[in-house]
Amino acid sequence: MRRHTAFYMSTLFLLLLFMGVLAVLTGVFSQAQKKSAEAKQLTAATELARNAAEAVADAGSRADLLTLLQESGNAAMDGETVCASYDEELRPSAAGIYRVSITYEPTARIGGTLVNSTVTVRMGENPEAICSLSTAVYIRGERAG
Amino acid sequence: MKQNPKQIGLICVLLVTMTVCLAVLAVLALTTADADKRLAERSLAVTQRSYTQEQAAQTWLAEADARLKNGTALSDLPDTETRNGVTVKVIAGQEGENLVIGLTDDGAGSYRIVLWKPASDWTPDTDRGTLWAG
Repeated sequence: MRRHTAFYMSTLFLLLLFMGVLAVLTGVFSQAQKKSAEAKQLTAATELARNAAEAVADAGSRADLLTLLQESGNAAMDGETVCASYDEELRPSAAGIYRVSITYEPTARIGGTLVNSTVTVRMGENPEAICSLSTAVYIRGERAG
Repeated sequence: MKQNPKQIGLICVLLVTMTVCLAVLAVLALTTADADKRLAERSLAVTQRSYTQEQAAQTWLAEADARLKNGTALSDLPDTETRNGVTVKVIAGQEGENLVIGLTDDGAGSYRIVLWKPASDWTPDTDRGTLWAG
């Protein structure tokens, strides 16, 4: 009887120990999953910001920029800011989770127009930006707006 | 009754093996995810630096164009040097990452961009020790 009790106690102890270890490992896996998701988001946001910055470099005006980004109704003007949405696969989508906001600030110079722009990428309705970058383009002779 | 020690030993070995395997997997998953995140952050930092440099370069172009329109010669632009008839401006960036811009006169009071190249400061390591004293 004592041996039986000792066996059950040992098994119970081992199981409890195993469950404790499993709980710790679940936490580690959960942290790994969180970091992996953050890395994926950051990579996607960087790609979108880079694409938007190149669109600014190609656009001759704010309207041009909107036209360049517009696909499947994903881009719109919000005041003086051009906003575009993309889904998880970075495809243009009006209901996308990634929101890219691009400011377009033209300044008249003697020989042309210097356009300063800030690209900000956010996730859904979260006001905190995932990433942001500043760029500029100088357009000779023409007037950008 | 002699079976009990064997049974608990078997269960113990099984649980320890499972625990070790899971622990190794957990550590691998965490280190991989951590490396992914650090790489993504580094990629973002490089992209941000690159576009900040682009911004500085475009601002300089606007200033250079204004000076040219006011009658300044291309070769007289400040902080530039002339190499083989090309006026070269180096936009210094962080961590030795420079952007080299080359301009030539377009003959109409403005410029033509002939060079737009990222370049890094690199000092070769000349101290390699003595390979053979002879």
